[in-house]
Amino acid sequence: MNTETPHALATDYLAQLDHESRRLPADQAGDLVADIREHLSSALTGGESEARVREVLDRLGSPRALVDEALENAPAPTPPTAPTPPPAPVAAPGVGPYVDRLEGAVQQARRPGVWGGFETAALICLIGAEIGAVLLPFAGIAWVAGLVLLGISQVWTTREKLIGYLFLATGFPLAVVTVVAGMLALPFTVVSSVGVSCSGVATTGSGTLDGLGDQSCGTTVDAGGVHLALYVLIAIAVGYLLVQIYTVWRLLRARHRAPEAA
Amino acid sequence: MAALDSAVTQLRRGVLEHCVLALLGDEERYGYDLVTELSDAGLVASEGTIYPLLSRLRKEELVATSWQESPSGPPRRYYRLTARGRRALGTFQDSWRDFTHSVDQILEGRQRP
Repeated sequence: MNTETPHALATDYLAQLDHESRRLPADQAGDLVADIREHLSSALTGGESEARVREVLDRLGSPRALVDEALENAPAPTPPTAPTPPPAPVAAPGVGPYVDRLEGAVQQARRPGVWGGFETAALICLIGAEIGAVLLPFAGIAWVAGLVLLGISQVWTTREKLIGYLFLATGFPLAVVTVVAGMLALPFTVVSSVGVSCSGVATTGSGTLDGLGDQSCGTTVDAGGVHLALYVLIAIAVGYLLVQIYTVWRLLRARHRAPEAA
Repeated sequence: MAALDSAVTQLRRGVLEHCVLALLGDEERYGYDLVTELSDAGLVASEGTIYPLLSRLRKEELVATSWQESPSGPPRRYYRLTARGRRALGTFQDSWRDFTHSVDQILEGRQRP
């Protein structure tokens, strides 16, 4: 015995359609469900017999068939005729091929890939540049590529891009500054540490390890100042790295999202 | 018989898009209205499949839509032909005339003893 009311049948149908339409891009799924909902509200004004409701649903076709049809209609923008190449951009003959290639790359990047490929490349470029900052020429190129890819992505929002520029893109220049500063500061560090260990050795008269452990020598105050500055720097660096990790996580997570509806 | 069914299905599929454009030639209409007319004319097997087609025509800017209040129930999406859709319809009408003329000639020629 079937105890379902007619409109429960329609509700079930819509629920199935909702489920099936997950195979479609979000905007297409939304359109299809809204259209069918409208169809049902036009066909069923209330008070129809169960037989009539069944007939309306039968005539619509199964939710699966509708979604299959929608998938077939999906690659819409290109007509079934032979694809015509886009008009060549007007540019000086010398740079023509480069402009073409750049345009191609930009088009590619603007079309959101299933894997968010260009977004991934942007992150790899920026992180790679920061880690490999010592290899200045290569890292520099990767960094610029990362900046461009980050800028043209249609998947990330303006806000996410801003975060990317602020916390991720700054990594490479900061790494360069750190390396250069480290090189300049190295002689002083060696001198001060030699000074500390010398006093340590002088006090205890034993190995260097004991000397470093000994804080009672005359240079303690100076060494303490150096250490404090070092700790603060390390704390800032760790904080910055944590923010960077958060940024990467956030951008990675957003990478697979469908682009903003045109 | 199966081959004939398939041929008819293919034909229907091929002309459906332009039949939709033709139905919108004189007036704007809402989805359910379009669907029932095409269904009554025997041009669609399952009515729901028209909606993905309408969606595509909209994205290709062959039709445009607007929401209008309905006398009963929620507002409805009305479809109308764009200038581009009208051109596409005109081109198809010419091709269709040539096509049916050629097919008719061949079919009638074959029937002759």
